[in-house]
Amino acid sequence: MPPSSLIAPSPAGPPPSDPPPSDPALPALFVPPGPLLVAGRPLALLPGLTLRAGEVLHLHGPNGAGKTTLLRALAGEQAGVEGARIAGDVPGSRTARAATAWVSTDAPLPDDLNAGEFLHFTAALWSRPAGPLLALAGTLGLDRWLDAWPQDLSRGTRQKVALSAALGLGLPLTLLDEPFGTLDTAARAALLRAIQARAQAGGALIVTTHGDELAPLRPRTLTLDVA
Amino acid sequence: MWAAQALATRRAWRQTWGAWRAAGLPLMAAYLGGAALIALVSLWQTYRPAPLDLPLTLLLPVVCAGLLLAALSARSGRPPLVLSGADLTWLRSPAAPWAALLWPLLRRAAPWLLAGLAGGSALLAWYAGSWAFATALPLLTLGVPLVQAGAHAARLTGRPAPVLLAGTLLPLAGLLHPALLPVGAALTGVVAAWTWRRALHADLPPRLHRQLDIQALRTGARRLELPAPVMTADGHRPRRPWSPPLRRATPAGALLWRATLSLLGRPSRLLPALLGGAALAAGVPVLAALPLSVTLELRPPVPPAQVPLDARTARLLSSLPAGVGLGALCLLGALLAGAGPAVALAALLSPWAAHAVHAWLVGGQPGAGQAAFGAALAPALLGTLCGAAGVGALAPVALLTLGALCLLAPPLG
Repeated sequence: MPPSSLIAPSPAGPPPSDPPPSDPALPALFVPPGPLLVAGRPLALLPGLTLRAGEVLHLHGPNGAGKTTLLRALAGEQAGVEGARIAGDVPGSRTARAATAWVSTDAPLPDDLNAGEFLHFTAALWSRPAGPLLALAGTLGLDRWLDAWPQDLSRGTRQKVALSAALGLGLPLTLLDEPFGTLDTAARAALLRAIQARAQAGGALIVTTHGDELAPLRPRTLTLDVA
Repeated sequence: MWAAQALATRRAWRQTWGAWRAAGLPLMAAYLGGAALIALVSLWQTYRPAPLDLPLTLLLPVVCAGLLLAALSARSGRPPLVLSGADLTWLRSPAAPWAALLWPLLRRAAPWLLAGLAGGSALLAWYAGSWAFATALPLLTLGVPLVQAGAHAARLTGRPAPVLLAGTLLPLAGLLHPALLPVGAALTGVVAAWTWRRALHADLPPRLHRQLDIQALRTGARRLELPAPVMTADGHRPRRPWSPPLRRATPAGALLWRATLSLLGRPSRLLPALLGGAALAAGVPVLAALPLSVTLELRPPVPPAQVPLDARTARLLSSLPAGVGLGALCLLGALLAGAGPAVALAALLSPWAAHAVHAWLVGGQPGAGQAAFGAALAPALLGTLCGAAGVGALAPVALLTLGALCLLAPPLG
């Protein structure tokens, strides 16, 4: 059964319950200068960082410099950045979770939902309409995979599903960890356009890559090095 | 390779024996065996003088029907053999597939043969006149796994097996003369083994290879007391018979929807709740815990950490569909068993409480085995204790408190 018949149409107008609104005057992300900690030990020294709406930050550095650790800490999955604020609250808080979309390198998808169901589920969790997520999935060439289960998808296709969910939500802060790594050429171009569109719509993004895929967007850059 | 197989089998036996000893099983088996022996001797003394002539004209058609059913019930998605890691390694070698699968087939056939030998010996000791059937019994029981394996292999390779089906009728030769019964039974086994070997002589069908991999995965999960992966024998996700639409685009609506999908993923796991309810009504907590522990496989996945909802609220919402669905079935089981209002209400709440205890015990970890049984036993035991203490009417309140505490407390796992 196609997912479109599984899912009731999204109601027109504003979603029923929006996440707590963040103050537009607040930066999407604020990180004070200080060490990036792993298990209480410094991994890298972070300069002060303020990311405002519409900004794209290209985070790069050698393996082990702490790029993924920083993103995981900002996503609230682990401690490590003292004093950081997302939408005015600490990473991992409900306000911060409501404002943050995050895609890790392994792009894990729940194994009990197929790709289409996952997109609808994600949209509903953030009280958003599923249309933008499905549209982005179509742009990334996922139309024929929406009925497929995660275990039947290649790593690149799983990555596309996770990216569609994260970017389609349209949250104030999006964290993408090496999103281009497993994508084909067409999908890379589509992803770049999606990142640009998200930034133009007022979203702030942090993207880690080892290459220069983001160069056309002329993003701000931050280089992490091993402490 | 045979030496490696023998070594692996010896190790598995040693491991199983160690687990049995640790659980005190030999002592219990000795006790039960002694009791059975006393009962058997008593029956033997009572009934031995009565002569019995086994009517082969009635018995053999039933036996042949059983063998035929074993062949016809072989489904391509239900592999009869279970492989170990050593078997899989052998299967990947250039050896003929049937040679690699012979050891697993022997492992599967051995208990059937032993049961047939025991039954045949007992029959011979009891009624010496039934020597023909007693002699044929081990061959007939050995024929069951052989026929199943042969029919399954033939089905997977897409070859019809009329010879195998005809072979299941060979024991009917015993109708001509009793001495022909063991011969016919032996020939049934030979035909089945020949069909099996012929089907697996060249290359293993890719589908069978996949199925055997999945079987090995299941065996490993069982050995490690992990839940079996939710997939069909071919490694696909089982199809849901029905998926409700996601109507409310809210976090609560999404969590409730996903938990309902999880409940509908394997409808066969819903039915044990009926038995659990009946056992609760009968006041036997252990018997209630066994089916309830099966329903714990329907526990919904842990809500994602990034959900913009309080973790306790998310856990509570996720537990509701299973609690309501299974609770209704458990209530029905209890009512059918004649439960009173308090017990019926306790039965309604027991699956929800069991799910809450399980979620608290194992958290996001895939829990099974003792944790699942313990979680299922907790509400049944609590209800029984309330009844024994004379406050049976408070059992529903106690269950509500137990479930709520488990959902509100941070998970142990």
